[in-house]
Amino acid sequence: MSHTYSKKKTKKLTTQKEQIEDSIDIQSSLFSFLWAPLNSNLHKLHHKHPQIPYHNLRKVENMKEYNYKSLTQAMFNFLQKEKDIFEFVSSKEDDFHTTRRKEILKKYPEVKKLFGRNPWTSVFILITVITQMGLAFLISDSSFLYQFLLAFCVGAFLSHNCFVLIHECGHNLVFRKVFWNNIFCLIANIPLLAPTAIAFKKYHSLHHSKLHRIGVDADLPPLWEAKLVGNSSFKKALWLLFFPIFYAIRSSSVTKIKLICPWVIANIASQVLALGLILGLGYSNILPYLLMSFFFAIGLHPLGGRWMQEHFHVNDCEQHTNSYYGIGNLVTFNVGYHNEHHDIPHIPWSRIKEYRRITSNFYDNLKPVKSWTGLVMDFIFNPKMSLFSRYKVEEEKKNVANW
Amino acid sequence: MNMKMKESSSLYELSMATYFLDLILSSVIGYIALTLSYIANNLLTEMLFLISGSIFLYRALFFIHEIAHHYQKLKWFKWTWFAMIGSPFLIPPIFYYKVHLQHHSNKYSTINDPEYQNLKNSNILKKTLFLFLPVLSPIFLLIRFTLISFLSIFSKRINEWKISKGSSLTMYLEDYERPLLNKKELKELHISELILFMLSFLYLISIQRFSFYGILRVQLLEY
Repeated sequence: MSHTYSKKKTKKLTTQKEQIEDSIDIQSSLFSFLWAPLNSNLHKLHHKHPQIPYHNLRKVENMKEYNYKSLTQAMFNFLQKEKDIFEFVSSKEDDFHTTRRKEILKKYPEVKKLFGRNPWTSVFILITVITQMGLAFLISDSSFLYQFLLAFCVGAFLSHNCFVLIHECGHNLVFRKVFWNNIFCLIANIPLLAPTAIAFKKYHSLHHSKLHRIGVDADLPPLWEAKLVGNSSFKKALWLLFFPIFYAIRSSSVTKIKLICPWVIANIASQVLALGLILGLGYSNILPYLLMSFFFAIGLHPLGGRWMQEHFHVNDCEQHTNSYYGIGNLVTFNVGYHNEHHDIPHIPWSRIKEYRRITSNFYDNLKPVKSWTGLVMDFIFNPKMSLFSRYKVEEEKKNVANW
Repeated sequence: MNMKMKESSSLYELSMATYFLDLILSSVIGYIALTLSYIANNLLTEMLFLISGSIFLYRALFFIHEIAHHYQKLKWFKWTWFAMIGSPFLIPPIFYYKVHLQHHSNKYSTINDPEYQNLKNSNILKKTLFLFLPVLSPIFLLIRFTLISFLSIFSKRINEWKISKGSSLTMYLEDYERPLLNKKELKELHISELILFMLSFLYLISIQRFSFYGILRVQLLEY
């Protein structure tokens, strides 16, 4: 136990000061001669004056410079890993997307033409819901393994599309009237079983206006959650698997939202009605498939990388928001264009590619995420990645908006 | 530290009497305790003698560190140490000379530091392995002074490898090349190697004759 052994082996030469800082003195005691012959417990001192013979080392012993009082202490410290930095990356850059939005609108006023709604989304909602429910009914008698595989390969994508389409409705990008948008929110929510659509709409609007604010942005994990998970691979995988549960718990702590409103009650009622119908008609065996699809859609699945791509710091690249332009967009309603979406949330999924083409010089210098699967693997197995790999912005206490 | 300060300060003066007395006392006590542990007739006293013997012999062995630092001043002491401790443990002082000084130079913690490894963030298994690696060193030393010494007579390449990579006390088994030796030091290496070659051969023969298993069985039968 002579050094901290925390330096990496390189070719870079070190100074004597660095050497001394990296060395350890352990207090001499009656028994130190047993494990540290010839005063070798005073190793920092020895590195300071290597020419002093061992029998004189005790004479220059400085009582204040000990690192440890005993060998046990030093051993314990050596066996422990270096403490990980448990903190989010602080950012002072406020309203990052708002600034860019203003710049873009100034430079390319023609993008305003792309704003608006796409009523055809409603047809996609109906198709997705019918397909998912139909599939669930079709395979309800199959074995669990088959259901599991189908949920992983197909169901997860359909459930994920339900989330994406709820998100579309949440931004009122389907119909002009909020009422019809909300109605289609409720319809798209049916295969997901949990009544999340309207609540998501509320939290999501806060996520857009108060991005990376602790305790306000429900996308940002609270401190206790990030500390609980830490950077162990097993815990990170487990967290990802049960992500919907964590999301539900964390959003309940966002106090800025008045959750209960007629629409939320309608949401719960419609889900209870749907569940009642399923159970009443004796089709309870479709539930495992739907549940598995739901958990895979945003959890331990390549699709889990979809929402992680949005605001995590990927590839050592500390960007507020990341986009994904890969093949996954084909089956997920272009949900990967996230930087673009945060800059201008008024563009429906069908026109976001056009928008990206027009404003490409704003986004070409940003680093996109290349693969969702790769991101999920990196998140789980890279010890540098954790829930802390993202920005936080301290919330100012004044001007609390009422949402 | 400049030369003037070194001379003025009595701290830097080596007390030869202390060195010799310490070495002789600790090695003699160590060997006596070790012998006593062999003839002890119960497990408790045997363990007690064994542990105290190893503590004293460990202290005696540790003088190689002092020798490495004061190689020129401790000439006679060096050979005394080699005779009493170095040779039975198959460690010539030249193995640590210059090698250890790299650890004190600006090469500290670099790839040329034989006594440094980035262990702090490795897992517990690697750390424990590192703590117990010295247990295996007698096996390495035995191979070094029998097989490799023997082969190096015939092959120039093995001889070069033996001197640059197989003649240093390091903390890890990774690639490390020791600082070059001059003619005088090379001669010293050859002398000590010849002695250790014969000694390790003696060891090998005795292991073959008695064998660890045999010793163990006899001891177990006694209890």
